[in-house]
Amino acid sequence: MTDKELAKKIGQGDAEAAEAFAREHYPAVLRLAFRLCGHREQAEDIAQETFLVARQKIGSFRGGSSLRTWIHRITLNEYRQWRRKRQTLSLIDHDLANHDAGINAFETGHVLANAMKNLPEKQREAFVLFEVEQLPMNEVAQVLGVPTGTAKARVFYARQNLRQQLEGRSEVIKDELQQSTI
Amino acid sequence: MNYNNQQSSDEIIDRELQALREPVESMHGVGDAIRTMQETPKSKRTLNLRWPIGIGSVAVAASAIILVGSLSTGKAYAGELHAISAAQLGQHTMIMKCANFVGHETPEWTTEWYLDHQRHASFEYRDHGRLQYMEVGDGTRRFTYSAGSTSPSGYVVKEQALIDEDTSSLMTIGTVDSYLKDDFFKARKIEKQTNVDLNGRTCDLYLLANGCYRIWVDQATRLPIQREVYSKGVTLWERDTYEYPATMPEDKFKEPTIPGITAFDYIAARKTVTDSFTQPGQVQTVGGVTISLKAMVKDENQIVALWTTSGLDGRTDFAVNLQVEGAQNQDKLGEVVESNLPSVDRTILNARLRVIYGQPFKLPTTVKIAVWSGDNGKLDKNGKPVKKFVGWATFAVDQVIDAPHIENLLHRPVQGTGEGIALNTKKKG
Repeated sequence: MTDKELAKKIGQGDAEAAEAFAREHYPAVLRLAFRLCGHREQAEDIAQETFLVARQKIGSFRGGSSLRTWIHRITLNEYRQWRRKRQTLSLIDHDLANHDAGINAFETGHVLANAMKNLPEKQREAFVLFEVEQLPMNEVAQVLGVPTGTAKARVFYARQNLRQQLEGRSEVIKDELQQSTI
Repeated sequence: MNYNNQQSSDEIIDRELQALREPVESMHGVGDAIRTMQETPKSKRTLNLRWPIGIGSVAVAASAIILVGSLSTGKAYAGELHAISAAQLGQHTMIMKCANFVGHETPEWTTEWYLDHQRHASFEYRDHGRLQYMEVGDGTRRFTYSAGSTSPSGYVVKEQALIDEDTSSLMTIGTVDSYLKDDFFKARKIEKQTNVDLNGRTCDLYLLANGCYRIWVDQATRLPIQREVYSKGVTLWERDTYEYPATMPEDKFKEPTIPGITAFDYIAARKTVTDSFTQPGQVQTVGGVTISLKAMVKDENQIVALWTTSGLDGRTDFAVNLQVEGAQNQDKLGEVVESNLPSVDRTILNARLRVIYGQPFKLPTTVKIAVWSGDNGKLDKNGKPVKKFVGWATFAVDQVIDAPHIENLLHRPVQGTGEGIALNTKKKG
């Protein structure tokens, strides 16, 4: 079944098709939202909003991209709305910052997740889509709405930026791990 | 950066990426998503209004995703507000104005949005009245002007084309309940004052987060009618107002004439380009392969050749493709990239050469396109024909279409379709 046929079935109320779609894409949507926003509960909200929008729009899905690209794009839009709202709120208070303190600080993935927070937003979006979600570059470009070359450049600069942040970090991590086990 | 450092940083990145690729634990699981997909579609937020306004620099600058407004004219009534809140996309009229004080006594910049069914207009003013950015759209075409950081520019595109890279095209406005339910505000002091006067209108005032957010709310619909944001609860940072339903000033929806600015019409240019595909173009045959050069396009930093080949139709994995005499190249050779261009009988290939920014080259010029064919029917391990370089097709070119930004002409998709600015005839993906 093609993506367009699947979308049509869901649009017509086919429960099995709807379940298959949700099961296939929910993990990626949630992970993308979480890696972008950094808050688990907020990521679940973004994921839920994403599927609300997807349900509204799937009847008009035209097959101009794959459903995977399409749902990633909706997720990105929902994340961006969330982020803009947070930017305004952050004027008032900055205490939303880090929910991952404590023992989580030593979990694998934390170092990179923290470094990713310092990336320019466009680089971070491209990096997450390409390196975490492992979408092909042409799909990353489609999700971002930019040419493939631009998407490539953003991933490249993101990695370069992360390298600079993490220079010498390996020694620091060793120290942290030693202290945490004392 | 020395090699060892780069290597160890890359090792960290790659190792940590493995963890980030793991599934995220979910409290609610996939169940909610399944139920959502199985339900009859419903409005995302039942009392929200969705503004069909493209978020360009205006909206980003305003940082006003949650918008409120004033009813300074006093013309809006509860019934109308109810009607508005239930209205579907594009079925309402509104004016929203946003003054960004950012701590100063007078606004540093102001923005205005006008929405009238399918028509919309937005303006950003800097320096006490200097137009920085504007958009005017009628549902089919959109005019955009930007004073820019280097030079001003204007262009016309098909509506809903993604010109700005920020693709969230809709803004939302919720009832005050959307604020009150927000975790951020729930965790902080909320004060409500009833029957407060705002420009002659009786409303409720909510002071959120110790007065940092002040929202005047229509008593019947609970839709906000004005919002003020204060830094540290003291310094006025931003004031958003809007009126609805509103009498629209017609002059706001006219595509303006701006001295010194000739708006580039991407819709017309796209038609010129795609019309050329139905023409034979310049044809050269090299090694039994026919190359048809359909059009050349350039902007400030690249030259693009649009062509077809009888050699390996549809392939774009060629290493060597384009040379343009007289161009100050950044790269030695052009690469083939995909585009959202429609095909006629064969795939339109899109080879581009990056040049030094702003360096002109003279016409006529000589354009050389690499010619490839299959290697005597041989197939590679993936079953694709093995390609073989057979020579260069050489063309004398005396016409090149100028576009301020080629990506807008060739690549940018229309939202939700993956298609180009002018609608495609061939689906991709």
